[in-house]
Amino acid sequence: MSAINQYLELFREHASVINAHAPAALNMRREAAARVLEALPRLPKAGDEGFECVSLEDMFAPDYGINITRRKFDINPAELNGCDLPNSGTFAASIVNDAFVADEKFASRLPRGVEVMSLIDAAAKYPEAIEKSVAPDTNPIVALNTLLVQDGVYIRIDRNVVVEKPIQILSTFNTSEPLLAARRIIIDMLEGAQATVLLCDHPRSRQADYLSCRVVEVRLSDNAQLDFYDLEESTERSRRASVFAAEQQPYSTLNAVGITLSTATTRNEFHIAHHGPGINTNLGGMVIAGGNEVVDNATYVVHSTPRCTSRQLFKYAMFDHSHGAFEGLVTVLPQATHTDAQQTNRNLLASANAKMNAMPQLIIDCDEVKASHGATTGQLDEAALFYMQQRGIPQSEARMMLINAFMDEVLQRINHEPVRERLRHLVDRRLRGCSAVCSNCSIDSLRKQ
Amino acid sequence: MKPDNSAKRSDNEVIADAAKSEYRYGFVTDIDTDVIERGLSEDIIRHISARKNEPEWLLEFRLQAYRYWLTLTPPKWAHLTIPEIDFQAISYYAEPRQKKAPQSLDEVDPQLLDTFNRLGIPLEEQKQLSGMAVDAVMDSVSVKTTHREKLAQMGIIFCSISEAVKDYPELVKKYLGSVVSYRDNFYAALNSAVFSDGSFVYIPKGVRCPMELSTYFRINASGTGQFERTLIVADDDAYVSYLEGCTAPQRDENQLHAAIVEIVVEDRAEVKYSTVQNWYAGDAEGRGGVYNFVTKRGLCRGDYSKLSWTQVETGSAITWKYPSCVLKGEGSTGEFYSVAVTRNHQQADTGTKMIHIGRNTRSTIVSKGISAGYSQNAYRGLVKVAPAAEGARNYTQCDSLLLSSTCGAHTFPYIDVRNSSAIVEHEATTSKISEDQLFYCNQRGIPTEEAVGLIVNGYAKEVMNKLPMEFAVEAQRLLQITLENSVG
Repeated sequence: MSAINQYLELFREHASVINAHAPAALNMRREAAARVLEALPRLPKAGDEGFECVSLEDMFAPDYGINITRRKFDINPAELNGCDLPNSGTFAASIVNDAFVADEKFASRLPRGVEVMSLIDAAAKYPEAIEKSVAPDTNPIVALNTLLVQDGVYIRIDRNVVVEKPIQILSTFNTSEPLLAARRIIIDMLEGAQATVLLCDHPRSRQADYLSCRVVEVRLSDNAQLDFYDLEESTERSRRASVFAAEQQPYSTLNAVGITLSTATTRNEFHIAHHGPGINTNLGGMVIAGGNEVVDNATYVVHSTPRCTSRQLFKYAMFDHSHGAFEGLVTVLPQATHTDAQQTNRNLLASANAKMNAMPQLIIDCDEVKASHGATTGQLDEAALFYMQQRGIPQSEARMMLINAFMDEVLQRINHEPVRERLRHLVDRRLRGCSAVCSNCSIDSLRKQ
Repeated sequence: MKPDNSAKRSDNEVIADAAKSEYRYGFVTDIDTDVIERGLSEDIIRHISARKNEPEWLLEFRLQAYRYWLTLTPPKWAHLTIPEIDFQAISYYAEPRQKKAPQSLDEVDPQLLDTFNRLGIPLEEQKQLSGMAVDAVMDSVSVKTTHREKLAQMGIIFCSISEAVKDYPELVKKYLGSVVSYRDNFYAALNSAVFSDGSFVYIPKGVRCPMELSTYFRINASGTGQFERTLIVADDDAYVSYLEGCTAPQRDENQLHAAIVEIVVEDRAEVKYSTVQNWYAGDAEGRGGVYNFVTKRGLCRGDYSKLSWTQVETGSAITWKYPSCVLKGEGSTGEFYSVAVTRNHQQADTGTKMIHIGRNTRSTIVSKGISAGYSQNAYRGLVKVAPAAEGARNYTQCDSLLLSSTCGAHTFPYIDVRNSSAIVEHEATTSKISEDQLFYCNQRGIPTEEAVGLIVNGYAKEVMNKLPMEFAVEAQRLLQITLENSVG
C-alpha cells in the first residue's frame, strides 16, 4: 500500500476535525489536494526522474502522529527566543510543531507596515492572501501539505517599507512522540518592500522521529526584494520535505539561500515563476552532510518573460556514507528573450563511501538567450593541502580551511552581514563536528537535557 | 588544413547548391525486392531465421528476445514527441532479389551497383585502391563486402553478420548480446528478435587494421524497417577504425530504423567508430523521415583499452541514440564526439553514457548541438562512477547553438559519482550565433549565409577533426548543405 493512503484515509475519516481547527481559507483547498494524491499511484521514490536520492514514499510511510485536534503543548515562548544575532537582533517568532507561537509583545515590537502573524489570524484579516496560493498544486509535497495544514506563519511587508532587522522564524518540534508537522509560511512583499527573513529549523529533542512537510510561498510585487535564508540544523531522526515557491512581479529581486547542516533526510524544492520583465532570481544552496544523511535540492526556474536573470549556485560537501543530489532545471520559454541564466553545482566527495548525483538541466526554446550550467564533482586540491601542511598546518585543519573556503562562495550570497557571520560561524562549528547551533541557543541546551 | 574545396566555391555555386540542398540521397532504386508480409509474430521470426538458414541457437535467441519484447512498452522519457508506431504495420525483412549469392562484382545486379555508386560508395574493385573496405547493406541484406581476401591474410574478419553466423559461429555466439543484452531496452529487444543483417568485424591479437572499415546502410523498399546489427571485436593490442554511413529514399511515410552496435575492446586495443548519419529527415513540413532508434554500446573490457565514438547526426526525423562506453578495464578510455544538427521539424535526443567501473578510467565527452527551424535538439548524457573506479576522470562539454527563434536546445546531463577520488566536470552553454562574428564576416565581404557556414564549421571543428579524412570532407559538406536556408 502506498504511503499516500494513510493520509487520505486520515483525511476522509477526520476531515471535519481538521477543518474545525483551521481557517476556511485553508480548508477550501483540501478536496482538490486529495484528488491530486488519489490520482498518484504512489509517491516518488529514489531513482524516479527528478528524485535521485530521496524517496518521498519511504519518508512518508511511517505512521507519524498528526496533531489534528490542535492539542496545546506547554511551551514558554520566551524560552525559545535564545537566538540573538550579534549587533542586530531579530524580530523572532516560532513555529512549535505546526503552530505559530510568539510572546504577547511580539506584534508591538514590529515596525509600522510589518506584520507577522499566525495563518489563523491572517485568514481572518487578509483572507484573500491565504486563499490564493502560488505553490504548484500538483506537486505531491504541496498536495500533502495542503491536505493537512492547519496553521503557519503569514508575513506581510507593506508598500515601500524597508525592514532593516531580519525577521526570524524558528521552527521546532517539541514532543516525545513521533510527529508529522504540515507547516505553511506565506510571505507577501508588496510593491517596493524589502526584508530579510531567516528560518531556522531545529527540533527541540532527539527522542523521536519527526517529519516536517513544509511549504513556503512567496509573492514579490513590483520592485520588491526579499532575502530569504533557510538554515536546517536538525537531528538524525528528523526528515524534511520542503517546497519553496515564489512568484515574482516585474523588477523584483529574490535572494534565497538554503543551508543544510544536519538532518536525516531532506528534500528541498525551489519553484520560481516570473511574471514580467527585469526580474532577478538568485538561488544558493549549501549542504554539509555526514553519517547516513541524504540531502536533495531540486530547482525549477521558469523564464517566461523577457530580460530576466537567474543565478544558481549549489555546493555540497559529502562525508561518511552520505548521499547528495542536485536536480536543477532551467526552462526558457520562446517569449523570454534576453534571458541570462546561469547554474552552477560544485560537489566535494570527502569520503570513499559518499555519493553524489548531479542533474543540471536546460530546456531552451528561445534563441535570444545566454544560458549555461556547470557541474563538477571532485575532491580537495591535493597541491593546496600539501602546501598548507608544508607550512605547518595540520592536515585536518588544512582540510577544514579548504572546505570553509569552498563554501564561502555560497555564504557570500548572504547580504545581511550579521546573519552571514553567524552562519559562517555555524558552518565552521559543523565542520569541526560540533552541533551547529549558536552558543547561547536555548534549543541546544534543552536538547542536551 | 582544410581539405574541403567548398571554401573556394563561388557565391553562385553556393546559391545553386542551396536551391537543391533538399536531400541528395532521396532517390528510390527500382530493384526487385523480396519483402515478407507485414507484421511481427513468432512465425515471422521463424520465417526470417529459416530464410537465413540460421542455426537453432540463434532462432532461440531471437524468440527469447521477442517474448521479452512483448512485455515492454516504448520508452517515453526522452524529450521527443513520437507518434504512435504500429509495429504490426512494418515488414521486418526485405531482400534485394537475387538468384544466388554473388561470387564476384560482375554478378551483382548492375542497378544495385549503380545505387551504391550514386551514394558515392566505392564498391568497384578499382576504387578499392583508395584503401577502404566496404560492406554495403541494402534494406535487410548485406550486398557486398569488399577487400575481404586482403584482410583475411592478416586474420581480420570483416563480413556480414549472417555470413559470420555460418562461418564463425563460435565467435558470434560468444559475443552476440554480450554488450547489449536483449533485455536492455524496448528497441534492443525488438532488434534482437528481428535483426536482419549488419557487419561483423574481428581483429585478432596484435593486428592493426591497415584500412578503414566501412559500412553503408540503405533503406530502399517502402513499408519496411531496417534492423541491422553490428558486432566489432578488437582482441588484445588490435586497432581498427570503423565508419558507418546511412541514407534512405524520400518517402511520405515514416520508416523505422532500430539498430544495435556492440563493440568489445580487449587489453590495450583501440576502436574508433565514426558515423555520418544522414537518413532521410522528412520534408520541410515534417512529413516522412526515418525514426532512428539505435542502441550503441562498447565494452572496454581490457586494461588500457580505448573506444572512441564520433558522430555527425544530420538526418532522421527523430533520433534516439546514446552511444556508450562501459569502462571496465583498468586505465581504459572512452571518448564521445558528436555534432547533431536538426532543422525543419526534426527531433533529436542524443548523447552518451560513460560508465566508469575500472580504476583510473577516463572519459571525454564533447557534444555540439545545432538547432534550426522548428527542430528540437537535446543532449542527454550519463556519467557514472562506480565505487571501485578509483581515480576516474571525466570531462564533459556540451554546447548548443540556436539558429532560429522557433527551435529548442536542451541539455540533460546525469552525473552519478560513487567514488571520492573521481573528478567529474560538466559544462554546458547555449547561445545563438554571435552577432559580432557575423558582422565581422560581413564587413570582410562574406555574405551572411556563408558566414554562418563558416562559424558553424568552426564551432563543430573540434568534433570534425576526430573524423577520418574521407568522412571529414563529406561531413563538413553535409553540415554546410544542411544549414543552408535555415538561418532565421
